[in-house]
Amino acid sequence: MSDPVDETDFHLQGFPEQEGEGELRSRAPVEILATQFVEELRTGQMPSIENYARRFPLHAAVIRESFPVLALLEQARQQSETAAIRRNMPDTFPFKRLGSCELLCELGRGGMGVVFQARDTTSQHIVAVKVLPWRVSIVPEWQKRFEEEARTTARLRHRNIVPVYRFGQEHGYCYYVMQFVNGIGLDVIIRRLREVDGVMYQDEIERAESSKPTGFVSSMAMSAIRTAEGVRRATDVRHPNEGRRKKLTRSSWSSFTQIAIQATQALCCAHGDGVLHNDIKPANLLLDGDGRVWITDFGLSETIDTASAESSMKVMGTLRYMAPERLSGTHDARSDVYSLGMTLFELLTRCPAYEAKNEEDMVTKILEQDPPRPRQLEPSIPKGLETIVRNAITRNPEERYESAAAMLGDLLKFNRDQKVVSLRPSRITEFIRTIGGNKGGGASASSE
Amino acid sequence: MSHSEHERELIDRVVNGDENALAELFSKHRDRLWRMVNFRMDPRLHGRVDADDVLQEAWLSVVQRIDHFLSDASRSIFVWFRLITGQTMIDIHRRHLGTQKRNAAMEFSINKGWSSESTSFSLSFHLLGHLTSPTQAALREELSEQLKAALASMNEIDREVLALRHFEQLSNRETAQILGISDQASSDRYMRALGRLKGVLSALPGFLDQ
Repeated sequence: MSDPVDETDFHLQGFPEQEGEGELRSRAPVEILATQFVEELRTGQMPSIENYARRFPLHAAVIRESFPVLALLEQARQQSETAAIRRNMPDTFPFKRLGSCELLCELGRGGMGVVFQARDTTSQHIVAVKVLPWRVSIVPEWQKRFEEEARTTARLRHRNIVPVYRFGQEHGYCYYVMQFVNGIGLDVIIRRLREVDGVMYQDEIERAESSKPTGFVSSMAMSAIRTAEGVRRATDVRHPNEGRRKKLTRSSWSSFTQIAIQATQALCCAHGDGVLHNDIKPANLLLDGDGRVWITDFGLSETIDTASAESSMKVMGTLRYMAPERLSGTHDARSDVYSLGMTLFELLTRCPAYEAKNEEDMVTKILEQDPPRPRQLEPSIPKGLETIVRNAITRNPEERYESAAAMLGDLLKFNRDQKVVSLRPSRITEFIRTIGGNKGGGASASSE
Repeated sequence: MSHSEHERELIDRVVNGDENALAELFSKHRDRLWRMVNFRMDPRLHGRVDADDVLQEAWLSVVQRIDHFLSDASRSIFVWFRLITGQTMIDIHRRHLGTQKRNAAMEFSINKGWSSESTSFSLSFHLLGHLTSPTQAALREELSEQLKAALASMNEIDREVLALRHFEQLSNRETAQILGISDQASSDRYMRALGRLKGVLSALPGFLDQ
């Protein structure tokens, strides 16, 4: 079978040299094409099947039939490798330095990696370093993706987004360096509020680092990161204003509103720049001693997500905040709004909207069940706030806030004591719709 | 210097007793050995043994038995590393799962390295991993049995060719060497196997809808 077009159009990449001319001649031409196609898949070049079919019309039928199976096999391989690497996240990392950063202590770890407090030896500033625990030498296509994501995220600049300074790769691990935020996650705050006395003091937020279990920050470093205000407040234990120490309680509605406003503003900015967060949850929203909210881990969930959605979803903690449409494979800005709404739900009620024994149960609930009304769990929640949360967490994205900006608008209204309107069609409207077909009953929203 | 020239030079050094050269050769092929171990590891060992552990042990075996390779030049060094690693895997599996009731799908045979049943199991285990959305998780259970049966109906060499070319990322020639067939036969079987797998998958409702 000698087809001149085939012979000259071959462009072989990455073939080990021991397979010389003789070997090529023994192989079926379409198999050589298949090998090349797979090589292009592996190096992230995104080859097009149609393209191959057009370039090699003699083999077009076989190409269209079997190349999709090649893609499937490669995808399966990649996912199983991802899962294997994830399973083997090391307990301790075999290095104490990354680039110019000297790692001081571990701040926390999650499915996506480990965060360290570190000192940048060039500036002597304290920074935070997040390390992705997979050795990219095994899955090199990830490095490219990580770099693209890190580059995009590093461009985000907003007072409520933790800035990423730089990223790199060393010892085979990818890492990025970001601002160290002296604060704690909303998940910690929610847990504390759930406790009997349910109060969180401002200076406790500032001193949170000293209670970290292992690898203490030296007191030198501690004083370097506290603001002068913070130091004064903390040392003034017996000050007469002690009774008026700033704090968060279960009914700090106006503080919660401020938290929500800041988080939504951050989302507006990021969405405006085309970056979705994809993993908004209490642990990713930090609150510092000055009451500022910082969102961390922007955009980077995307990198790993597409490669191994299954493994990341296995982390039930994340699943609980995940928008239903994400579970079916699509997502957009409204999915972030949903996750933020869920986070607020927990902050206000101190309960997660959905509880489940296992993944499947959780998924079913998210897809099929309506969450309880916040005021059912905590009657003192202001109505406007409840409406906002409910508007954000509707299961159907069409009935949700269409953007973070829309949600922000309502939050600002509530803040000014203005009425907030529910996005759900009222019962009456729905009734009219069902009996009247398309006639009547527009989307006149009711207020609740 | 090309890959093959470099490799030949390293092997020459190994012949002269240079263990560093052997280490260099092993690390050159490490990624693909890792792939093999990852692909073929029994899921029951997840969390107990990882691929790096296996490779560590395999390396010790390599050092011990390098003379066997040198005295029998019929294989490429990669194929030999792979054989040693395969045997190490078997030992480790026996050590951990030895007295437990054997899962018929994971019977190993030393000569071939892996029985066709084990490849079939590995393939279906990994292919089903592609059903990534949790809503498809329920589908997985159902499809798992069907897929295993369907793969079992395929010719064992076809199955093995797909596993070697994709999950272990071997070349046509390496596949041919391992299966003991000609380059041409290996090439033909690969294409035929792809076609057959396509047929098998098309018969499963909903599988190829992505």
